[in-house]
Amino acid sequence: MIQLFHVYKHYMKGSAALEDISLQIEKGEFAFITGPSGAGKSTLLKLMFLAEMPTKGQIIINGYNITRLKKSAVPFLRRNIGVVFQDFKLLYDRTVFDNVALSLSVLGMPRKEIKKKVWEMLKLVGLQHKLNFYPLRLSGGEQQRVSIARALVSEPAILLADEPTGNLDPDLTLDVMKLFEDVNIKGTTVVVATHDKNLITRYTRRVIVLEHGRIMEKQ
Amino acid sequence: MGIIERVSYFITTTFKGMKTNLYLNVVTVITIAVAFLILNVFFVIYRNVSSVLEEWKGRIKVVAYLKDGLSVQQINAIEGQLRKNEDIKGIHFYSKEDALDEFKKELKGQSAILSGVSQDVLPAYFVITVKDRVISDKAVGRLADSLKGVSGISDVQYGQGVTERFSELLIIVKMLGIGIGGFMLSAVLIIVSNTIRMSIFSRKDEIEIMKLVGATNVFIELPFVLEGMAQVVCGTGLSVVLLYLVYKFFLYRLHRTLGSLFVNVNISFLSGETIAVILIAATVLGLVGALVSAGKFIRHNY
Repeated sequence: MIQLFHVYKHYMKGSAALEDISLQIEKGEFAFITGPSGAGKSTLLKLMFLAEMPTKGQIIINGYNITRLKKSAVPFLRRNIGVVFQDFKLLYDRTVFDNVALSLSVLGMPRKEIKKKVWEMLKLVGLQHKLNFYPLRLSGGEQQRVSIARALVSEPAILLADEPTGNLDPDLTLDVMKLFEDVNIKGTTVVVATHDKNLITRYTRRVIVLEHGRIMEKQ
Repeated sequence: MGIIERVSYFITTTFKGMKTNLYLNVVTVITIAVAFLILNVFFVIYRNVSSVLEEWKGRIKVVAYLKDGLSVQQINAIEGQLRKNEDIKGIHFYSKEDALDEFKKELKGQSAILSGVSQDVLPAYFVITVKDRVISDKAVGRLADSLKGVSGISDVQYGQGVTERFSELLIIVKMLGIGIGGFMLSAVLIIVSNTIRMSIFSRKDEIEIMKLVGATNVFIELPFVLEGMAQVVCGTGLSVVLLYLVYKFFLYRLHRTLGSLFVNVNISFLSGETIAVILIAATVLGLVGALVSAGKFIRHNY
């Protein structure tokens, strides 16, 4: 599902964000990427959702070599990838419904179908009664659930989460992780980048540890 | 999404975007309107000066006066010679009697002045119309000079200098129009692309998220491109309306102050085709301006 072969990522001025990363995440797997701040977790995730291109090496996602992908094909590959961020990245001038519906309207789905799917998705994350609320009226945990709903509503094969629980208290963290486990059981590949050690010890899943842009160990 | 749903999506998104940045959009439309107003004034001036010139050109006549005492044969010989000249379209002969009659016609009502004037006073003449290709002052001048050399012709006259000056004026208006037009069009292009750039920046979070969930660039760009086109078309439309008001007001003032003097003053407004061309050009301009910004700020990264 996700394969990286000797991937390097250098930013300007020569600082290396990632050095010789090779890894493989199978279809339906649940993996954590961890390590201290600045270890390269976010960069690795960015490469996986094509926000950035590697300086060197090959990345294959869903069977496509992204380094050889035409720019115009990027959106279509992205439709297979849902992304969740620490800061939610919601649109605060839109309702919960509109935020989630955005994922489907860019696909050109009919309005009627969008309504049905968004409602079902909001029900799954437990926010169906708040679909006309604006994000700022929601708690942090609820906002994160909206962003997860947005990431999952188009039923992507892969879910990437960058510090999804970073802004949440422990109870809400459990709620969010529960959602991730649920979609993983249904077959979605889930990759969570986190520096939260409690999270990793609580869930016995594969852990990829990054330090100074290199993979230290695989558990 | 059906085609109708899709179109309505893009139109509503465009309007929502314009509404969010209403002030910016209004300022842009007004600026474009002013720029095009200046340009359109030149179109109107050019149109009117050139139509006056066309009319003048149609009226160019060369008059060749004959010496007194020529026999009919001699006159026929001169006419035959003139008809061979390739620059000449038509010749009409006025005898001494005709000349007096024409003069009387010109003085209609006051022809009494001429009573007692003998027909010998006025010379006989040919009125010569020239072919279209000769219609430039120099060519007419050359023709007139050559006619002076024909024996039996005493003098040749034509509207010396008048057409020349009009032609020069037309060229000046044209050059000014092109210069100011080029300047205005590039200004409009910059204004539109700048406004669209600001529109894009004000919605960059949304664009980022749309990209994230797999929106194609065209899908994201289209509302901005439509916005740019709408701005220019509105601005241009407004400029035509403004110009029309100015035009009407100007005509009204002109008729009030100079009414009796210039009964025949006829200033025409932009033709329908010109307005259509301006609007089409404006649409293209808006498209290009918006695409420049969209390309720079939407397509620049993944």
